[in-house]
Amino acid sequence: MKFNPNNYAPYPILRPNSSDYPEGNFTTTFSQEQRDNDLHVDCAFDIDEPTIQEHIKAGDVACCILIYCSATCYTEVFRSSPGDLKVSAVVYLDNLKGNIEVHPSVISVKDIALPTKTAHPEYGGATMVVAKYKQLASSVPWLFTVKPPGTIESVFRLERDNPEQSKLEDGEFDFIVEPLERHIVIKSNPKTYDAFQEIRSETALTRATVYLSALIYALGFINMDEPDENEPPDGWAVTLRERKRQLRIESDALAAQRMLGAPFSCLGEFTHREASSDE
Amino acid sequence: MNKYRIVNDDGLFALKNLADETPHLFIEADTTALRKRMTERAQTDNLWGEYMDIRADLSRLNTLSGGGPQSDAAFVPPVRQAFGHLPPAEGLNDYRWAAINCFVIPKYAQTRWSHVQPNDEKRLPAFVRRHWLDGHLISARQDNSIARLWWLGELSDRAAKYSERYDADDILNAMANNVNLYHQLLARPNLASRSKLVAAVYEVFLEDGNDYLSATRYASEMLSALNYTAADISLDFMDMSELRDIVEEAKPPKEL
Repeated sequence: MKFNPNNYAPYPILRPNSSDYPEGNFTTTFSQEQRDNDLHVDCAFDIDEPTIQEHIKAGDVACCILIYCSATCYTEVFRSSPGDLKVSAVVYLDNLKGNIEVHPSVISVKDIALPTKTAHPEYGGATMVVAKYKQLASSVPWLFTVKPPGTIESVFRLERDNPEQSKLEDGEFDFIVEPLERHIVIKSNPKTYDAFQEIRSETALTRATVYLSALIYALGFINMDEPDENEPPDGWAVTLRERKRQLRIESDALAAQRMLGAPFSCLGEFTHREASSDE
Repeated sequence: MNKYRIVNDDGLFALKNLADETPHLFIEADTTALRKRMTERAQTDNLWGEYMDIRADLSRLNTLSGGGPQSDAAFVPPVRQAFGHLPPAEGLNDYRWAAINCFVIPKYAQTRWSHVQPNDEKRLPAFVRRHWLDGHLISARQDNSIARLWWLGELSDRAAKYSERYDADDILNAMANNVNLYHQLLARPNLASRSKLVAAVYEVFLEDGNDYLSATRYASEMLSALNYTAADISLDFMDMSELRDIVEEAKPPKEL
């Protein structure tokens, strides 16, 4: 370990890719859910380092999560109750858009004496004074995306199918869209599946193209005026119909692109092939 | 309650193409010609998205006609009142801001940016895109004519909630009239998103007439130092007094 007082805190910090605590470990279990107009975040801290554990029990330090959204210029910090290893947060969704970062950390809430017996020998086992509001541990941030209300989410599933290799031109993909009751299945053959993997730099764009095409295709299945009697109330068709009404867009293609939030003009042409009867 | 329509993807796409081809249509605020060319360009009438169901008193926006850069702070309240219930998540909706800049108050953008309008015809398309159409992140907060006023009001309101020494008008005026500091702050969203810290920055700025901090060099030095500090210490737990001390420490010395 090379100790550089200009780059690091003068006391050990439990964090990834650091040898400050050779035997220590800090992981978090994270869950988030969008309910009604709120984002609910729960983060459980698992800290395998006796010195920091003791300080948490004593209430000298707090488990915290920092929720950051660059799009809305929003930062808020939530902390655990004294001695607790779990942080729960509820954030109004109107304050969030797009990519969200959640940074778990352990922060001193008052000046503390930090023994370094379990830290790297470089610290000499001395007891160090750490001022309040300093970071004692940090874990890798959690990243996820919040969807605007009405956005279709987790509707599509890319399945690997086993039909025979089909003859495809360059840039052409073969997939089957199968609108079921609760979700829409997109099946691809092995050649298409492999093609997705090869286009690494454009994977997201390709996937968006597939989803968009599937969504446009699925929109053709639903009766915009009258729901089907067999439709489950929480199925994709109900969601799509309601969203399309909200958007007040007649064109299926435009409705689809707004639902996905993807710029249709950038996606280019996509060839859809009907599944043959023997597939 | 007023309702107006925002442009859809095709509408915005057509407007961006028109900005490249005929930027003078935007600058001259010829909305009739712009609508006509937009439809011709897209070869469809379906260029409009949903109606906005927010409280938007459009008559207030009429007061924006004839404003210049020195009027930003005065123009923020009408914009905030017009879009009073707009949530931050909607503040980056470039479909909305493009429709407002191009069709609702078409003269404002030209008047506001006339002092920096390029004489070089080749640079006009970028100029129009930046101030009429672009609405993402820094563009929305810094360059888009109406969006930047909304964000100016949003960020100053947030900071004013924490300020112990100055009210919302003081902080708004400090932000609007010292854009070098404001833009340096916007360029560091991890600082700009901490409203209590922003309040402390402007309290220190307003104290003792620290006008030199509005120079880009000094503002940049101070905010870089704050960034460095924020990596080591959790600023979010501090109260205003402690934050002011941190900002004071980050303040670079004024050179004679």
